[in-house]
Amino acid sequence: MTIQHPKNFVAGVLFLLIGLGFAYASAQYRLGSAGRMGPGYFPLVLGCLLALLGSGVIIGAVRGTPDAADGGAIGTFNIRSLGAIVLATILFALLVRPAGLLVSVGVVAFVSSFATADARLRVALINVVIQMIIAYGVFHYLLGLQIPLLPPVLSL
Amino acid sequence: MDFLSNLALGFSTALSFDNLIYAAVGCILGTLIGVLPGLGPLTTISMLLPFTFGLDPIGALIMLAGIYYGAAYGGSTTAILVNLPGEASSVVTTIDGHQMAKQGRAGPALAAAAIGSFFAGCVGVLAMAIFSGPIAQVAFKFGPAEYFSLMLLGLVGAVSLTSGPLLKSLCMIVLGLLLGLVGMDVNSGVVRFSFGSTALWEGIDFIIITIGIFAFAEIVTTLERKSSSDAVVAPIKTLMPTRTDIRRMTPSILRGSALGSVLGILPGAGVSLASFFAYSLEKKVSKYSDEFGKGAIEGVAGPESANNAAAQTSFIPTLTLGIPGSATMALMLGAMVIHNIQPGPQVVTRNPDLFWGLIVSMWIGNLFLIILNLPMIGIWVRLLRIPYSMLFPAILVFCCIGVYSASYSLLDVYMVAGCGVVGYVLAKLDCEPAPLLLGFVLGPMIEEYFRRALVLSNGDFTIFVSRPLSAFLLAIAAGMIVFAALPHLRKARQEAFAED
Repeated sequence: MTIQHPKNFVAGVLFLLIGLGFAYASAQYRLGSAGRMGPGYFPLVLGCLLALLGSGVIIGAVRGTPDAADGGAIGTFNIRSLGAIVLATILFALLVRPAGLLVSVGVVAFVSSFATADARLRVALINVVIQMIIAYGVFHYLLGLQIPLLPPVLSL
Repeated sequence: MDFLSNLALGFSTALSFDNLIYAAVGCILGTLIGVLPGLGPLTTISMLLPFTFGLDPIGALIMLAGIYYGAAYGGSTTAILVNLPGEASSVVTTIDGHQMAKQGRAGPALAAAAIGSFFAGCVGVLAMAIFSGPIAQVAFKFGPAEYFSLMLLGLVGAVSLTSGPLLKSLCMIVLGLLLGLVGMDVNSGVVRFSFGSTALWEGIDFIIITIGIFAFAEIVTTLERKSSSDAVVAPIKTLMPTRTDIRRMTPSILRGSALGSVLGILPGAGVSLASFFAYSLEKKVSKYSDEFGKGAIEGVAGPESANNAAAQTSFIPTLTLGIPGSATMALMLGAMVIHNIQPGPQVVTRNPDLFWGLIVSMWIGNLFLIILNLPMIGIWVRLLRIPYSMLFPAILVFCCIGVYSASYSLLDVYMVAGCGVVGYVLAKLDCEPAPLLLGFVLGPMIEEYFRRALVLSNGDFTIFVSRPLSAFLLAIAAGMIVFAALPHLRKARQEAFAED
């Protein structure tokens, strides 16, 4: 037995597992009856439904013929782009309180600039400057967000 | 008489200084994102949503609506001038619009799109003003069973009309519904699926799902595609259409407006489908059908009118029933909930200033758009030169600050990063994120109506089919599923026979 449509197969397995997970977790809450529903009733129904639909996707992926041009193969993951975007976001969360708005925005602009394969240092630095100006003009001045502009340590 | 006093209330609300500014800002932003390729209305609205929290609800909704229909309008500009549809709804406009531009008739094409959009916008607003009241009146008679069935119909309709694989879209709906249930259950006070974290007691924030799954995933998938940064912009000589142009485009505009107004109301049909249908309709009825694909003005005027009319009327189910037909409408609904406005027919009676103000502001917005688009076209064209490598860091900065400033919670920012990864994986597996968002928004409501209906019937499930209106709605939903599944069935059967 070969899998005809890997993309759908993986998606189906994910849906099946998530559905079962929700169903299991819902069963821990009080279920009640249809007329007097407890907190677990509706999510249990949905979890089972998701598992059922997921199984349907799996069956389709195993039996059906690939209809997509790529044969349903899962393409390569763009780890560089995703990694740079996620890393920039996490750095923002780490820096925004201790380092203030300008520094954290600069770091987000700099790190995310390297999400493209043909990233250049010059473009990254231009992005940093532009984003810092926008951060000052739009977020600090215009919208008046309650995020300190400079590292709080400096303003003491 | 009611109608006139309602409109008067709408005008007095929409013409207040603040609301005029919000409408103008919304239209400008909408045109901007419509022009910028790689930045869609969904991303923009979710990105800007947190910054509207400080506004009053009417102003916030007026601005968000402006972004939405402004984008539908602005997307046509790039479609015509550079053969790049700014939005999905302008894809068909590229066929004849860009051909016209190549023949040196970019001006009349832009004019046809703008005039058609404006007229269609007026028709759409009028349709909203006329039909919203009666629809809300009917909805007032709905019991919980009818509401449950209606929401089911809304969800099923939204996926059965899209092109994606049906089963996977249904999975995404259910997943969205489940994610919507995270947090405290309003009836029992039990906190569900929080993994012991107090931060999840109030549920997953709407913004985190939209920004993570839509905006982040969109950035990464756009970066994957090799973009042609050196787009050739066709020159504009004159904006004035000739007399023949006007004679040929007028019936197309009328047909497009009517078709778009009807399709906009249907769940899931929305703006893209409206423009596709309008194009094929024009091709069929036109005397010049051999000119289609070679620069027929009907092929621009029809679809552009249809998508703008649909953009307006898609607000009808969202505002009067609380049922969003598309992911963008789900965002609008989410924005209403965030501003403490309970969606449903009571919006029309309880918040008449919001309802009528929004409708009138859309009409004013359409007026803004025609001014923005025709004389100022040169400015927008210049924006096309902004490379994506400088655009996406800005999008990311807006997302980060937006999520953080919504409730100043660092966990929200980490969760958005996590949702970004999930969104990208889902995109890689060809799972449409829009149904997930619809499910997420409707999750808590659909559970509540399901529960209430069964309390009324003492746990008897036949209540959903014994009440005629509910049975009718469910029958349509079932019909839509069968209709959507049929081509698949037929194809699978053909392939099975081919193997024999």
